[in-house]
Amino acid sequence: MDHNIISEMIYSCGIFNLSFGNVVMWIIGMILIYLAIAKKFEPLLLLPIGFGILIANLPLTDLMKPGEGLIWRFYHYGLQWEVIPPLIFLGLGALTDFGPLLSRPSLIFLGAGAQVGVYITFFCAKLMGFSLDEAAAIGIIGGADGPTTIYVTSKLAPHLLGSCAVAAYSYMALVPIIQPPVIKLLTTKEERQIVMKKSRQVSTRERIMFPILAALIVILLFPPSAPLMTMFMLGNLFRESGVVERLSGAAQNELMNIVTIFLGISVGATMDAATFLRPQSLMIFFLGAFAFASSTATGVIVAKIMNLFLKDKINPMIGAAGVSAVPMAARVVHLMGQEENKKNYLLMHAMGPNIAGVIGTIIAASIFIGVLK
Amino acid sequence: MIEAFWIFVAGSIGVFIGMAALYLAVKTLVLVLSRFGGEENSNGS
Amino acid sequence: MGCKVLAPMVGKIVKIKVKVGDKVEEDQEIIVMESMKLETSIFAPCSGVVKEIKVSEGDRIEEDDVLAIIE
Repeated sequence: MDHNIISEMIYSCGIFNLSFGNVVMWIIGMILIYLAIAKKFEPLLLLPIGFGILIANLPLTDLMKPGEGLIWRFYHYGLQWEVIPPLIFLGLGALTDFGPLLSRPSLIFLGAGAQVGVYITFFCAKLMGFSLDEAAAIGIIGGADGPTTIYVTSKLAPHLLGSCAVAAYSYMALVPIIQPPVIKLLTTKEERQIVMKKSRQVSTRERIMFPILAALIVILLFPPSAPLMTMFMLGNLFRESGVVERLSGAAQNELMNIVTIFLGISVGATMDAATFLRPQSLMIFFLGAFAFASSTATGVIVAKIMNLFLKDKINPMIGAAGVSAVPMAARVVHLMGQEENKKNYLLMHAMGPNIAGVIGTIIAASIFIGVLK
Repeated sequence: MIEAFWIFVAGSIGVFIGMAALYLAVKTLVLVLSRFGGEENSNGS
Repeated sequence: MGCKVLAPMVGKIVKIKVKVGDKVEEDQEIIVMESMKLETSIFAPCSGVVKEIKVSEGDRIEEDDVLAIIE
C-alpha cells in the first residue's frame, strides 16, 4: 500500500512528465516575455501570451483540460465561442477616429489595396502545402489586425491559433523594420516627397452617420462580417454620439483591458509543445513576414495607380498605411515622409488608409469565412 | 490549387467592391449633409 | 519676409526648442509635438529670427494654430 501511494505521488509530479518540447516552449515563452518587457513589443498581448505558453507547457495541470480546466474555460467561452474578438472591436471602435478617412474618402481604396497582399499570401501558403482553411488564417496575418487574425484562425484553423497570433503581433511590432525597404523599393524620391493637400473639415453629423452607414453596407454585402463589424461600428457610434461617454470609456478602457487579459492567456495556453513545435509554425513565421511585406507593397501600388487619375496627388507611401497596424504604420509613413521633406506631415493623411484597412481586413476575413465555411 | 486562385481573384475583387460601396455611401452622405448646410464643424483629431 | 509656424495637425506641444530672439534656419527643428502617440518635429518654414512664440509646453493645439512667428 505505502509503496503504491509513494509511487503515485512521484508519478503525478510534473517533473517526470516533462518533455523536451515543453522545455523548448518555456524558452519561447520567456523570449516573448523578454520582448514584451525589455523591447516593448506589443506587451499587452505578448506578455500574457508568453506566460500562457509557460503554463501550457507544465504537465498534468489540467488547465487546458476540456470541460474542466480554468484556462480552457477562458479559451472555450472567449475564443471558441467567438466572444473575445468582437468585444475587442467594440473597444477599438470607441478608440478610432474616422475623421481622417471621412475627410478624403478616396483613401478607402488604399485600405482595400493592402488586402490584396492577404490573398497573395493565402495563395503562397496554399502552394506551400497548407489547406485552404489554414492558408486563409495565415493570409489574414497580412491584415495586421490582431483580433481579426484571432477570429479567423479560431474559426478556420484553431490548431494554428498560437502561431498566427504570435506572428501577427510580433510583425506589428516590427512594422518600422518591414515596411520602409518595401516602400522605398516601390516609390521614387519625387513620389515620396509629395505633400498632400490639406484635408477638409469633417462635421459631427458625418461622424455619427458613418458607423451606421458602414455597418449597414458592409454587413449587407458580407454577412459573415456581422460579429466584428457590429461591434466595431457600435463602439464608434458610442464615441461619436457624445452622449454615452461612460459606455465609450468603458469600451475603450475597462472592457478592452479585461478582454485583452483573457485573450492573451487563452492564446498562449493553446501553444503546448505538441501543437506548436512543428515545421508549419516556422513556415507560418516566414509567411507572416511575407504577408506584411506584400500587403505593404499592394497598398503602395494601388496608391500609385490612383495617382494616375487624381489631380491632387496622394503620397503613395500612405498606401503602406493600409496595413492596419494602427497607428504604427501611419507613424512609419509619416517619419519616412519627414526624411524626404521636413515640411511634410503625413501622419493624419496616413491615418485614413490605416483605419480603412481595418474595415478592409474585416471584409477579407468575411470573404474567407463565407467561402470556406 | 485552382480553387485557391479563384478565391484570390474573387476575394481581391470582393474587397474592392465592398470598399467601393462604402466609398459611394460616404460620398452620398457628405453630399446629402452639405445640402442641410451650416452645422458645427469638428476637425479630425 | 518672415513666416508663421502653423500646427500641421492636432496634438500636444512636447518641447519648444528655441526662444524668442533665436536665429533659425529653414527646416531647422523648432518644436516637438505629439500626435497619435507619435512624437514628431515641426520644422521652420523659413529662415529668420524668432519673433514670437505663442504656445507653451503641454498646450493642446489644433490644426493650423499659429505656434510661432519668424521674421
